[in-house]
Amino acid sequence: MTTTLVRLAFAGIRSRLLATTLTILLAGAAAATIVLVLEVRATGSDPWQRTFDAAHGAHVLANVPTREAAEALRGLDGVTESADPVPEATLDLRTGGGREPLRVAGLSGPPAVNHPIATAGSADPRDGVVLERSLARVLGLDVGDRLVLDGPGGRSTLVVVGTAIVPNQGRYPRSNPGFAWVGLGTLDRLQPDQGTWRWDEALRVDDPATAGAVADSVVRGAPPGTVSAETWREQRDLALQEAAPLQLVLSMYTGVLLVVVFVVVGILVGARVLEQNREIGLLKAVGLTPRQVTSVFVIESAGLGVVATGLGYVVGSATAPLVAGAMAETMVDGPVSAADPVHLLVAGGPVLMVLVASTWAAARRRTRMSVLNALSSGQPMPPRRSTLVGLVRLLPLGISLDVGVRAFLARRGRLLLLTAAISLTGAAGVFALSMQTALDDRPAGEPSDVPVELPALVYALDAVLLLIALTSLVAVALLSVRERLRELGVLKAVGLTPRQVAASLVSPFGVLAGVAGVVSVPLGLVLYAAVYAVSGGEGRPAVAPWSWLLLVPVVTVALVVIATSVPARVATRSPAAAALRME
Amino acid sequence: MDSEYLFSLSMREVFMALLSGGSGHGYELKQTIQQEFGTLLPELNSGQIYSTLSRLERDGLVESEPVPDDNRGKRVYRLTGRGRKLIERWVEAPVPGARLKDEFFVKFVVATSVGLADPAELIERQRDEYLQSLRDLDARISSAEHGPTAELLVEGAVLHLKADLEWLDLIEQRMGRRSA
Amino acid sequence: MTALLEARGLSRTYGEGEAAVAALHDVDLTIERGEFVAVMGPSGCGKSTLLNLLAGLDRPSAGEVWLDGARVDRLSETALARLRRRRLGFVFQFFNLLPTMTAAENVELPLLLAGRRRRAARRTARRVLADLGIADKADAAPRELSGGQQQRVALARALANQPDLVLGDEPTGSLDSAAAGEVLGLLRAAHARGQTLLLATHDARVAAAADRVVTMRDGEVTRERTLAPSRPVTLPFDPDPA
Repeated sequence: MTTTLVRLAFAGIRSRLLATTLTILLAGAAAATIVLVLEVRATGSDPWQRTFDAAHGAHVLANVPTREAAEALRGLDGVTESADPVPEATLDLRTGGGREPLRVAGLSGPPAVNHPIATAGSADPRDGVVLERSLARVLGLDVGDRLVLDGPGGRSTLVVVGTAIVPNQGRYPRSNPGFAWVGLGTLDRLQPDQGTWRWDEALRVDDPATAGAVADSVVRGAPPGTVSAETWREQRDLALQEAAPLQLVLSMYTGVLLVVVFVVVGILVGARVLEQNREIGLLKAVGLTPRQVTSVFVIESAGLGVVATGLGYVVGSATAPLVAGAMAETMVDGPVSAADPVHLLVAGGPVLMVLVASTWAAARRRTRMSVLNALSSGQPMPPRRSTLVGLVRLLPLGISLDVGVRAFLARRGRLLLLTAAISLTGAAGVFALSMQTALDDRPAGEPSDVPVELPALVYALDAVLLLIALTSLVAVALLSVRERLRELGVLKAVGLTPRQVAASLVSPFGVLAGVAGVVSVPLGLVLYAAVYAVSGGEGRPAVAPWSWLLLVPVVTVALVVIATSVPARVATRSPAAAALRME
Repeated sequence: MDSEYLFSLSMREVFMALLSGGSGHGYELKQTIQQEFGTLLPELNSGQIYSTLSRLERDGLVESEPVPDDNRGKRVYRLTGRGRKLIERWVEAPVPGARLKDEFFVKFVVATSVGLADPAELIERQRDEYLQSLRDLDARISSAEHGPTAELLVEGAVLHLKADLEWLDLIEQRMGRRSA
Repeated sequence: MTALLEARGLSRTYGEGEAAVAALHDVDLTIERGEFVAVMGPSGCGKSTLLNLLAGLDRPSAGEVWLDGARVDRLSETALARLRRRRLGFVFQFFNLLPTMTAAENVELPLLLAGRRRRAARRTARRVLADLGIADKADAAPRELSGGQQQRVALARALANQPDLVLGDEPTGSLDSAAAGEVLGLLRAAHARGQTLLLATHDARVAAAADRVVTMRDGEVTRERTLAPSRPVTLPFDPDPA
């Protein structure tokens, strides 16, 4: 029996190649996105590890008030290696608009542990200054530029000799104040009162797992509030916080994408089951129970889901390094693919669930009907008196639009789903526009809350979403052409010109796109505001200008009309004569 | 003689059946018949009616007596016991279903076997006739000058004609196959 | 006077090369204004193909179609559509009412297409439906109607514009005999009012109602017979057996 059911299921897949391909592509896109999110998280930690190795990073980094206290830590249990204590002081950096506090370390040579890694120029400040890379970016300073530092001991104009990174410094301006290295002499000149200096002691231990215990003993041995210690784990978490907005955006898009895909797959599967009314009746007549009929459909879509997940996994893990590279500014090199097989399972779960659940729901509804009901249920009815229909009747709509909108209203569930899908896609566009505005609005030199790499990521995801939405539209349009073949034949016989027939197919999609486009504006703004708030933005977020926002519905309608006119053209070419004789 | 009465449809049975409800005179019988069948039946004249009734009386199936106080010689008729028995048997016996006698078929077989006519042409001409008959009958139905009884009768004839036409198709098909 | 519709050497072949199937071969047919012509023949004889070609729903492989003295088989799809909406009406075996419209709206559709105002179209549709005896079903959905009722609505839709020609493809083909009789009666009545009709049918009763019956076989016309006006019918009673 099971073999028979499986055979029936695969026969179904073969006979509907287009719908099958689309379902796989869409579900695959969903799987790819999930894998992408997971992989980005995984690859993000990898470059930090390399930065840590390159810097010969400190398992425990202590910050103490005196050189002696720092020296004393070098003898702690488990410490295998340590650097000479590095003094640091907070000075004022003169910027165009005023002053910014800046943590400045005084180096007499490269420290044995946790030494800065040059990303441009030299990591050895000598008489100049080495800036932490993200700080240099925000200040717009390059090797060779000059900056002015103020301290109690006077003012110094220093040449930037290099930019560098260390594993313990987070990205400016999120990590504020910024960090820089100068020669020990420069530090002494600007802050001669060595009593105000703090000392960094970088320690390496034999077992990194015990770093926490070592850090505890560092803090415990001193008067409260005078000493702090950071383990390598805390350094890594700080670095990965940089990925938080990216992850947030990715997660949001994953959500949006999953909803869109769910909706479209729901439409496709529902339509497919609807189309199978006769087959369902036949299977039941042959003696299959409703449960067995449902399982034929479920097996079929589960098969598609497995293929889609595999496809999505390959694509997702291949693209992850590209996306993760954007967040690796404070780290060495680009990330590599993690390709964790666990991600395959995590991505496959929801995708299979969505496919199987929507198939199950649609098939169950169908199989539970009596055979007689099933036969007549495919027939749409004239829309009943709702406000929407009243409107359609009142408006002096052209015949094409009238006919098209009616056919559309006859499948209200699908209408709603499609509106949701287009609205969400439009909302993603609004999100991208708002973010771009926030970047553009920032006064020159003012640091932005939006990481610079975010736009590239968001635009890429928007493109994916758009592609999915348009593909689905073409699919749904093809579907309605197929379902309405006979009706279109009648319209031709009654005297609608090919142009009118095409218009009757395209125009309702256009109207729907208009509605969805308008809905998408507030939806997108809400999404943006939510992400802005969650990622710790303050005040009112900058919003895209209204002229841009007005463009969203217009562009939505234009794209939808273009996408659906392809299937519409196919429909006008199909011979009316054949369609009319169908029963 | 009984079987002749049973299986040939004639006005005798119709009159006897109408009289089985009680007695009546000739004029009443004429009116009832015309009410039921309308113009489908040719106009009956009184002479025909009375000669049929007197023949029935001669055969002992009907008896009559003069209407009192009528100087025109009007008579009232009723069934005799024999007549009633006969008409009851006539009513009970179903009309045979299969018609294995068909004039066209006999003509067709004979004429084609001796080469008197082209079979296809013969069939087509017969089809002409059937279609024309169908047209005549349908015109009758839509002409509205008829009662429900006559309509049923004509509808029956239409169905028979449609069957005859289908049968012609079948003959044509079989003949064509045989000659091929 | 020119014929209303004329087909000259009409042929239609499906497929190409070895697999080519001739659905229609060299058919000539003339229909005069006011005529009622029936095309008979077994299924697959090409009668539907002929109708589709005459209506411009399909293109002939060879031959010509003339409507009212103008050649129409070479017209563009758009021009054909415009021609259909004013001059032709259709009745199909499976009614083919638009399921998303009520009966009245189905009838209004060709009127609106012909450029009538909405209100005028509504009035005309109601009147035509009343003529066909289904005024009370005007606001019903097609699927709420019986087959016979649906075919009446379809007929109303075909007649609404008072087209030059009404084409029917098995108009009684999916009706029981009572409904078929009613629809035939309505067709006959339309013809009596001067409507030209061309019906493909295998219902002998429909064919017998026509003035002329064209019989087709294997894509060719095998016989054309003109029926005489109906003769009087009498019942076979023997009023006076010996």
